[in-house]
Amino acid sequence: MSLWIDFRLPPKEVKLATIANQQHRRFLKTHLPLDALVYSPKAKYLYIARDGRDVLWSYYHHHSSHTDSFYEMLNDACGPEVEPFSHPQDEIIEYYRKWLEQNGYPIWSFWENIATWWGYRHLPNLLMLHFGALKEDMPREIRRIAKFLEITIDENKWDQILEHCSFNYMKTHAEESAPLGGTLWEGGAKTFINKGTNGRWRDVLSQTDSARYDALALEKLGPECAHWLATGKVSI
Amino acid sequence: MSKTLDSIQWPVKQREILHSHFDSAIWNDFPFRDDDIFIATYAKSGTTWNKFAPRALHLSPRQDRGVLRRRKPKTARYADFKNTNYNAPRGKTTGNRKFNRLSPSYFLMERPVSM
Repeated sequence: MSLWIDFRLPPKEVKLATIANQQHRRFLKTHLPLDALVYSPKAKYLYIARDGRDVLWSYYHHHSSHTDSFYEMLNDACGPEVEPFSHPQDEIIEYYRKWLEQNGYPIWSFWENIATWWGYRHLPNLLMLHFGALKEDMPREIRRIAKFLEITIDENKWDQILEHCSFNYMKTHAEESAPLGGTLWEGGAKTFINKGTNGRWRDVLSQTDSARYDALALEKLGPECAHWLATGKVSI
Repeated sequence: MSKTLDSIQWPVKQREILHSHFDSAIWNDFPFRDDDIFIATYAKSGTTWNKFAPRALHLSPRQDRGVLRRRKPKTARYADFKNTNYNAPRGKTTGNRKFNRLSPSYFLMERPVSM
């Protein structure tokens, strides 16, 4: 299991012991901005970004599917200084507007997450990936990752590698990926891995709501990073 | 990348973030290994795919398998989480356990911990 290091569950002592006991090469995830974690010059980092509107649409489904026990467990793990997490209170358009105008509410800042990692994109042990590029040409992106991780691809197993990276495979093996085997979501792990599609917001968001996102992206990230986030391409 | 390592301005942790979902302080005690792979995203941005891709790639390389083989635990490597009772005390988890040497996931699986 690839554990989410910063997540409050399970408790820190349990999680660190679990990570320390892992005998295989470790794959661990973080959702923090780069300036809030300790960075290793020797480890390898894969950062992946996605258009915020796609993120929000996916997250709304994710948030709406949490079980009651999830909220109980999560809020029990927090101290009184932290605002408790609860079921989504709004329909998706209002949810989107609050997320946009209140710096990522009810979760965390989208812009600072992207910006802090983008600012260090030239580090030799950090590879910047993009969800759209992955959708566009998965084999190309897998080869990029292999080269970065210094893994020699066995071409005889290429088809099998691609199959194991396909959305259908991930959905079928969702229990292996979702935290606690997907028990924190109604419908289980297959809810955790939902659709993997982009653009569901296009027919729902008004032009004004969508343009507000574009304007904030430019303001918060600057033109180069905003362009990369929108297109997956580095040069403008 | 070794020729420039000394001249690189590496990121330094600037702050702690406390949130209902996370506590960044756990990083202060993190026991790094040189071959760790960290997958970073905001949320819902391809994290899962980024976990499956390196796993699938480990189907390939003889050299990495060697590293992995040396670390292979003597105990079970692949547990079927589907029917597992996560609330059971550690060491008493229930449910079917399946073992499959062909699955790439055996590199990554561990027994679920009690909470």
